[in-house]
Amino acid sequence: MSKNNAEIINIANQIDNIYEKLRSRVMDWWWLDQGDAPLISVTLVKIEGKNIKVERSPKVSLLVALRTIRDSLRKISNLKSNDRLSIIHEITKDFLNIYESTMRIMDANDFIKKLEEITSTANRVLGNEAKTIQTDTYNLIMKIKDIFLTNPKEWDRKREVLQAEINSIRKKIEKLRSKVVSAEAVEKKVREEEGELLEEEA
Amino acid sequence: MLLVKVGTPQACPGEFELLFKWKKSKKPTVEDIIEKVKDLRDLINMSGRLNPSELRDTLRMIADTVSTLSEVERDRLARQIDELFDEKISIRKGWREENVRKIRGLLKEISMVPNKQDPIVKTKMLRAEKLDMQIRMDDATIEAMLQIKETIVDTIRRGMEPFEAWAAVTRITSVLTDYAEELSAMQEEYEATIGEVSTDVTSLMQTYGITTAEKVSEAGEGRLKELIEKYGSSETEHEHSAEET
Repeated sequence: MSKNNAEIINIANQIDNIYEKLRSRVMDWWWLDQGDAPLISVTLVKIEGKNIKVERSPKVSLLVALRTIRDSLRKISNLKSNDRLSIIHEITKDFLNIYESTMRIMDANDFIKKLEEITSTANRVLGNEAKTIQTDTYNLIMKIKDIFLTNPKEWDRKREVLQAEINSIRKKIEKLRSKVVSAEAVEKKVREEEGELLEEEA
Repeated sequence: MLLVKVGTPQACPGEFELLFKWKKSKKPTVEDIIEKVKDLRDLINMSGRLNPSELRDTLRMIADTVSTLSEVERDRLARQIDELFDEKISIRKGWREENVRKIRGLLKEISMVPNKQDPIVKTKMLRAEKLDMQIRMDDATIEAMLQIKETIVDTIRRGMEPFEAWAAVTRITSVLTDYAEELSAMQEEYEATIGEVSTDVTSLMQTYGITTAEKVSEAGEGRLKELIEKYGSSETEHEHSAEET
């Protein structure tokens, strides 16, 4: 095995390590089907005898993308350096794409955690009124999911808008909360007055 | 000169051995024990089932064989058996942990859906139930492997009587078989219900309106609560942290 071949195999083995680390991460991304959602397409290498075919895969999950890259690297380790170079160039782009998508998802996951917190707070303090907040947060989560399913790069452009929407949901909770508190106060006052009337009658 | 009569055992020994099946009784070796234990372990690990008679025979064989071994040899064999089981147990524990994380994510997702009448909630609930069964099956398999390992190691180290060891193993076997049966029944039920869901969604709107879905969601919510209490989800985590603060 030449030195170059050994290096490519070594890179493929390192991708295995990255795969394992990512696999434990994706479990927390429940809103992206725990990492199973198809997000990006990667380079597929097919070698039949002397023919080398390079094509794009359909959209696959990040884990499948990493596995495909690893397998492609192992396949091309025995090719001539000229053939290999152009494929490696494509694979590098894919790898960068996976890295960027992962970073964006991790950023989006922080948003999701905020939304989870909001739902939980609403359930605690609003009682029956929490349903509208729950609907709002769920719709926002679905919106975030859609961004990643269609084009993850859109995230950078839309994150500010989504942040504003989260803030507006927070304000809505405050409003609803003050409503609930005042309604409770009125109810309490009515009950007290009723109690006083009953006492007077007695 | 040596005269050999045609058709006597001296003339063709292989033939005679084959004809009368003359076999020398071979005493099992340490390697045989290891192979036997490996088979047993794989049977439990792969299928969640256990062949009681095979286990009994293995224990008897181990008890007979180790009686001739020295203390050092016994200890070495016990350690080998210990490693054999530990390897599979740690893999199984990893799978279990993964399933627990999966079910937590699923429960989080279900609890976030505002409309619990959504048919997708039912499908996800069924998946959660299947995962719950799988986790219980993993627990049972891990427990069974641990118990059997202890029993075999005890038999090797301290020369536990096969009968005594057998009593311990019978208890585990029944638990394991129950889980396996429950799991396969659950799987059939799950597949059948998944089929029903896809047809129900279209007919639901036309014939039954929302009432059927309401019943489904009511039944589902009770179970959801149970599962969340068991495995936890983000909401319960938040509540706990809020209570603590």
